[in-house]
Amino acid sequence: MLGIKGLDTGYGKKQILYGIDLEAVTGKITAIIGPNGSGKSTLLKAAFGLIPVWQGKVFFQRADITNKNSKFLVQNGITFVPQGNRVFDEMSVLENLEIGGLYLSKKQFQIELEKLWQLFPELKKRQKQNSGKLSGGEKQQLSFGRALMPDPTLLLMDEPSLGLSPKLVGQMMNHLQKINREFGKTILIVEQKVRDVLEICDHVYSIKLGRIAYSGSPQNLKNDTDKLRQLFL
Amino acid sequence: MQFIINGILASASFVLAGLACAIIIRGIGFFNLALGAIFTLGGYFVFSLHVKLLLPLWIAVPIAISLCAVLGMLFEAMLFSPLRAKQAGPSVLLLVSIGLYIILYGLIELIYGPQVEMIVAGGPRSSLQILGIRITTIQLVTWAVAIAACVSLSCFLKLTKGGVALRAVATDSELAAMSGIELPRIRMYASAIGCSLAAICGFMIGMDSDLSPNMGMRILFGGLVVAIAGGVDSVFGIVLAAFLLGIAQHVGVWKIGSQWQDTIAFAILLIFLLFRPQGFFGKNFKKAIL
Repeated sequence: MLGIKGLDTGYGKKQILYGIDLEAVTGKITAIIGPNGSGKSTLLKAAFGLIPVWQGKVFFQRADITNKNSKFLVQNGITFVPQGNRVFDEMSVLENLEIGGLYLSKKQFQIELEKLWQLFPELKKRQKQNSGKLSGGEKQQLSFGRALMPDPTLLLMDEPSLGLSPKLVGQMMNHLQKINREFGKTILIVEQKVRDVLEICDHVYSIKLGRIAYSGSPQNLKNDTDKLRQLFL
Repeated sequence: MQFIINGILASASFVLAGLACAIIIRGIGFFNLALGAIFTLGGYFVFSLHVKLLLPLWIAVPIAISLCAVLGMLFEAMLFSPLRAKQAGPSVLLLVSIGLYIILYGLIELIYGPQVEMIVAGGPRSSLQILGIRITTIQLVTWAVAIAACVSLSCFLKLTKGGVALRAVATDSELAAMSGIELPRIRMYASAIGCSLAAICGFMIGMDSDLSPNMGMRILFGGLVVAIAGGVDSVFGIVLAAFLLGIAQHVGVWKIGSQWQDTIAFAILLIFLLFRPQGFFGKNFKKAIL
């Protein structure tokens, strides 16, 4: 579904990523793990056109989407969930979802909204409430909801567990599985909660110093603690 | 009593100026001082079209507003957006906008001269007497326009997709970009709306009094005071702040003299920035990026 070939990028003149090759397979959860500052979030931002790709290509369903803007990507089935439960905190829950569904027709918006209320019934109860007043877990749900509104085929998620309590991290992982299995969404997730994400993903990449250091089954990593430790040293 | 009523009547132009400033500050993320020149141009464009080219007002005014909206879009598309792409922060953009104001001010003075001009020929304005208080027709029209602007802007921001997107950009531009909103386009629209409101305000003030090349900066600072005191994201707060400024300035003229009008405006600005930076109802101005 999403293919990244030989991607180089960085900020200003500082190169962060070197020749990254990665694939997110249709219908699967693909995780990217690695130490802080290794370039995981930078990779997602480059794939979503938020920072320029210096070299290499990004493909989505075989079409070249390198350096396409976020509006194009949203309209073509890719959405982005940023770090740390970010919501438009001066706007209501419903208005946040309207932003997610900005490019939908009225009818399609209602259909997507009903699907979302079924997934997150708490949000329905609070749809008129100012989203800045939601709890951490509810903000997380709203952040997912906003990304689900355009009915994407691929969700890019940048450390969605950041700032959540261990109990809420568990709940969030359950939601991810549900979004993947019941809603059929492909997920490419950057995550620091390694043990949790290895439980739910189908394939895992590890990035170290801007390069892919591991690509393979999460099961192998779960069983090889030394390897896992090595990837984070 | 006449001073208080005059203050309330004068606050209509403060409402328009405050709305223009608020939409610019929130929509484009910094305080574009070139808006000062747009207030002036709004009046002078109508002067050129109506007085010099003899077009009727109902044609001249929409053309003048459209020209100012186009200028606002051009500022964004050709100047501020490329600067943002080169990582220029709000303070750099603010400095550039000062330069842009100075260039536009110079051009206005070069084209129209430093002398005062009038859209409506001199002499007494048509007016009404209500309970012994004199109200000019243009003051009533300005209030009608200000109310229409408040209602239209509120409806646009709440009920349309473009308005919701603009509010999203104003709340968190980075998150808005991540949600698929095209920031350059929305900022261009915000600039066009702010400049249209500024043009209307400049024209209404020009109809009530006269035009001079430096009139815009004074209106701009009045608008800034109203936007901050009202809270940059509250239309109702802006109306309330406009009343406060209008009444304070007119009572000030009565009690201590007209030369203190600007001092009163800046005293109100300082009081709000020190003790209530979020204004009557709005967002903390320090967070709204000057």
